[in-house]
Amino acid sequence: MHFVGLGHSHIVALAKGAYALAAQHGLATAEALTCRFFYLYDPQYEPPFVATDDGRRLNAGILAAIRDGAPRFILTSIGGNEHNVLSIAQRDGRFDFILGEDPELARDQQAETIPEAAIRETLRDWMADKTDILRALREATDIPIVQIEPPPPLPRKHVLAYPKEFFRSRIDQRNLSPDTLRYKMWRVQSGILRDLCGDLGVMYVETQPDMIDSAGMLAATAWGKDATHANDHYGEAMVASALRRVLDNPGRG
Amino acid sequence: MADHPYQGRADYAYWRRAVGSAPDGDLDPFTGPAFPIGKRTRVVAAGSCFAQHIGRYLNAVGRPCLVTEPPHPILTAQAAHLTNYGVYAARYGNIYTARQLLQLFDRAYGRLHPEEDIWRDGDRVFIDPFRPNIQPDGFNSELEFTIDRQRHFQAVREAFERLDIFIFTLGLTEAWRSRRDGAVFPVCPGVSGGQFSPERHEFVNFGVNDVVADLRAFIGRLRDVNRTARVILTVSPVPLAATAEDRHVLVSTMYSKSVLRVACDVLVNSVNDVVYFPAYEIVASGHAGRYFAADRRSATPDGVAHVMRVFARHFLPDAADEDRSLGGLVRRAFRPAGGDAAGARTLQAEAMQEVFQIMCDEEALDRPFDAPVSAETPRQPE
Repeated sequence: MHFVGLGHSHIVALAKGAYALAAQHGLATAEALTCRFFYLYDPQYEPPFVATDDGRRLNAGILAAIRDGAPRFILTSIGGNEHNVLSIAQRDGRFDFILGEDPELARDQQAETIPEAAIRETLRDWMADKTDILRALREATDIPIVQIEPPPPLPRKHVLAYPKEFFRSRIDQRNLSPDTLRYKMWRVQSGILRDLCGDLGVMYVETQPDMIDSAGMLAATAWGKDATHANDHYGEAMVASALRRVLDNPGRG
Repeated sequence: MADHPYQGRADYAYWRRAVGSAPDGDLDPFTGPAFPIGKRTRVVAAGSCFAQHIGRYLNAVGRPCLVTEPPHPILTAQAAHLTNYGVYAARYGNIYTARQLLQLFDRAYGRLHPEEDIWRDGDRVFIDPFRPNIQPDGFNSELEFTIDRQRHFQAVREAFERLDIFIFTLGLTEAWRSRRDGAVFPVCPGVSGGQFSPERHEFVNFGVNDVVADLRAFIGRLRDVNRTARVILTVSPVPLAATAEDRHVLVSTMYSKSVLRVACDVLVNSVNDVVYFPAYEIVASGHAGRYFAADRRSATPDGVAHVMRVFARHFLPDAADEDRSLGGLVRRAFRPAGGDAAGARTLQAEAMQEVFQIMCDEEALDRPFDAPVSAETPRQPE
């Protein structure tokens, strides 16, 4: 089985996991497992859309990538850090919201409570450039596409431990958001992606339960090296889950 | 020749001079007096959908309306717009009838507690019957609904207490209300939430006396909390989308607009510091230009521009000509209301995006596939 992976920064952990899985015969299939990964921030895939007389089309490099080696399916990790961008710290006034899926989750009583609808529309707006790519991929091919849910946020203690100077200098660590707010933001982003995938006929693979700790944050065994990314152990588990979904659902999307 | 009352009248009193010979796009039926709107004048607009044009225009020409329920800075302009932040001073949505306006005041000040106060749609959707389209998918819980409405009522009170000029655009006389306590809904129950019930809901078509009484009561209560508040009344030229009367919608439209127009004159002539601005006449009379779109209902951009040009000429005396021009309007009119409160993307979020971009770039440095040519995995041993 050959597949193509493409996406933004979370694709790196997935690529490492996929290679490890292929090397160790991690999934029992009769076929050999091969894959090829493409990083959408590479110059040849930017910008992702090119203007045409009647609108725009997907970048030719991306179109070539999804046909590379006649893949059985496409694994995507489109976007994924928008929830972190918006909520890792709060300089412009503290905010919080009630998550409709789980209204009992703790809320910062000193913060302004914003309607979830406003949070959702804000995230949807921030995600639009990336979700447009997913839409265009779906239009460009009939082979199954599997979008991997972005990893949950890393807990505050790991964020605080991230040693890079650029991070420390630009984030006022006194204003770091509570983990619960960041968890809720991730859930809203994930819900937007899940709904979109449902509309597009794209399989959506949720984070494996053992990758999530009891507070809903990324489990320590899956932490990457920085304040937001997961590691290859996470990648391997998520790719294995994606493969199982494809094998169980061999049709389109 | 004997003297008579028509001698010596101003040009605007003569059809031939004021209308018949007015150049296209230049008919100006406003004869004053006007309330000057300066850069520090706190204006609050409300009313039917046409009222949104006024707020948008004032924002565009540097006279932003007062906003007492601003979006949190984390919201993008698009999200703020979709959730109705900054469209008006507070998130009250469109107010179509004078009774709805009066009841908004009474609900905000705790004088009215409608029995039908919340509509539930399943376990996760809660709709405010008095602003059912205020945000996509309603509220997610009763708690969210309650928290938001407390803040909303506080913002409504603040708007009424701080404004200098209140501009109200009357839209409709037809409405649906609760049989129990007379609470008026902006949209018929069942259309944008709730369930219509003939036992609980009834149709009402207000007459001149109703509209005058409601607006007189509203202005009185407004001045109880804001002694110097001045009021500009307008009538929306947009026809009814549908009528609940058993007659042609055009006939119902003429009735409603006539009632509203007469009510305005009664109020202007009987209440201090209330003026009428003839937006209706400019667009709907047909004498100032062809200002309805192909659906014969929507006002065209040219029609809206004409209305705002006349408005600016009289109410914005110190605005730069360039700002009052059609070009200025077109360039800036679609800037989201609420000014900078909802930036396209806030500086904070932009800074965070930069941080995450650096982290993403660093993550990419560690990728197992090389740029620019992506590497293939080793094949599984046969």
